[in-house]
Amino acid sequence: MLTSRERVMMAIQHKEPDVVPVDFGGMDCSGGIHALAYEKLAKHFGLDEEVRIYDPIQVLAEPSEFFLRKFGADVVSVLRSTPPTGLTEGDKQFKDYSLLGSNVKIPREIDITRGDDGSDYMHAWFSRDASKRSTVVAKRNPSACYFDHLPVYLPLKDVKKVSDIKELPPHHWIPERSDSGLRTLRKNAKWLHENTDYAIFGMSGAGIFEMTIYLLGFGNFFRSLKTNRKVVERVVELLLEHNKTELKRYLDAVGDYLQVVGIGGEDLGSQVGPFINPMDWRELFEPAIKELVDIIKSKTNCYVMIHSCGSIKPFVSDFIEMRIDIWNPVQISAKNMDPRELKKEFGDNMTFWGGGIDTQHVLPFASPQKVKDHVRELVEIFKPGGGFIFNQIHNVQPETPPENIVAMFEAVNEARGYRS
Amino acid sequence: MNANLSDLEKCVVEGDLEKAVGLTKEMLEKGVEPWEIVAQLRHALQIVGKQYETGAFFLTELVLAGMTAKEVMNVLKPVLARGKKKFLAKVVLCTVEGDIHDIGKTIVEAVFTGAGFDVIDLGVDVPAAKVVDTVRKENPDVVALSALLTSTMVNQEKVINELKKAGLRDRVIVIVGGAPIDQEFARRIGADAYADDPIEGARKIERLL
Repeated sequence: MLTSRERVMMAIQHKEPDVVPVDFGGMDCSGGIHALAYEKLAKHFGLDEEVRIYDPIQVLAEPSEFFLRKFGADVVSVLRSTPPTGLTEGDKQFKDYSLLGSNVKIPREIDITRGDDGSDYMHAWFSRDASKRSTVVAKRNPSACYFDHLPVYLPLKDVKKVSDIKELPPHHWIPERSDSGLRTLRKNAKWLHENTDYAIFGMSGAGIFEMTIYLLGFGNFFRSLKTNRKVVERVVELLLEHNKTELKRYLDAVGDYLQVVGIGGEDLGSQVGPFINPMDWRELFEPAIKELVDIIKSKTNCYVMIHSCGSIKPFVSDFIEMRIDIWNPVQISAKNMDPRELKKEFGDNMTFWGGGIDTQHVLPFASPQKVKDHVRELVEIFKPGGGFIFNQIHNVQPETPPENIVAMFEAVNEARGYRS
Repeated sequence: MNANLSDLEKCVVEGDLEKAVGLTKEMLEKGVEPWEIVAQLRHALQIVGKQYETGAFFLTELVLAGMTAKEVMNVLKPVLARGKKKFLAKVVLCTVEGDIHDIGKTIVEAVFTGAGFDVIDLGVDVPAAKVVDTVRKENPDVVALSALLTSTMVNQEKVINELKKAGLRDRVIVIVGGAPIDQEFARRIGADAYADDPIEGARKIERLL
């Protein structure tokens, strides 16, 4: 029997391991489980678990070792702070946060205040520049399950010319890691590497394309793309400069211990098609993203993952040419994203980390039996020849019944074997 | 066709906002019938919609065309309001309760306005009761509901149920949209229509009016 780490590596090398590797909340991008869904899942198993949030915007919970084992998971994040972990209480502390009547734990440093309107406002607690830490970067309305940044924080939405952009504004998705934070991360990476056989994942930084949109806002981004490209180019230049520096520091700290490095969220499509013409993306964004991939390839032996949601088939060949090994989350619920076609066209050269279940239409709403049938079919489509790590098309959403999560992993376990 | 009108169509298709607004003002000064300009806008949006459907255009072009058509309508609206002819339809639009996503809704608002609808945008995170009150007060032809999240799409059904309870359901066409929404969901919750994109949405509304 292979170790989890060997299993994941074989799958990425397009070899068939013993069973399809599984990721359950180990890839800290958008393939995890919402805190409220996790709380219900723990109760379903009679467990009184502390629900720890590792991503306060998407409100994602860190699965306990019980669930990693129960569901046959093979991957952990280098951020992990619950066992198995190399971190102690002194390394990372948590505080209570009330989320729609549930008590969850969030990292102590996160600064959230309650507004007069009953909404929760998240501030730029992560900024190295103390004068910027009070900036509101995200908001959770009283009845909302998530923090949102797009409607409330578009720091460059009014810029009209390049000279209006003096510096990169703080943003939750743009890491500004401290030296001590990196030392802690290294300690955890080393411990996980030496004391567990899980594959270790690390998200290195912010995307270039997606962040350009988040900073400019869709309106200004689209306008600038058509009529004022220099503005877009300037934002890309600033993001690349920042990302390159952060990426090198990150890899120096943890690169020896990770198997997979994520290069950030690069959502390129909506539910129905690409946001922009792929020709524009190739001209304005692809060279910058490729520089980041090249840095990872030159400094480490890690495999590179890109996260890109939506209907984005026209970009996948570019990812392959750029030497990106893994694509997540393979949103098969979007238009023109037929799983059979994706596997046929790109399966020899691209590892699919995701595509295992539709979290928009099936997982939260279907019967457990339908969940099982759906998962079995997708696993059978993606698993031949390796190149597949089971994960959802996005996070497990808050209203998802525990029975459906159990059904999902029962089906995975029934279908994941390569040799009968 | 009036040369200015065909130029305007080109500007909307290409998303050239400033030029489109300038041309519109010029045409109004020349005495061009404002509803003729609206018809041209609608035609331009249909061209964009077709290009989007076939994959020749992307969200960029759709958004810019919508924003351009909306700005032209903002120039036309005061003039149209002075005339006798009514807008094609009055639409109450919002993102439903619990959901503060406004990108999709904003695009819909722009395209619907540009398509000649009188749009009342209630914003985001809008409770069902507020939609019902607005329908009672404004007597719209259409209620358009957006939702991005699987946890909030159920609130589209809540609005429909509240409209039924208030005895107002039969007075309005309900159209729904948003990432997790599909035709099957729309049918199940008793909506009249669903659309993948705002231009298709405008077309479906026109068919149902």
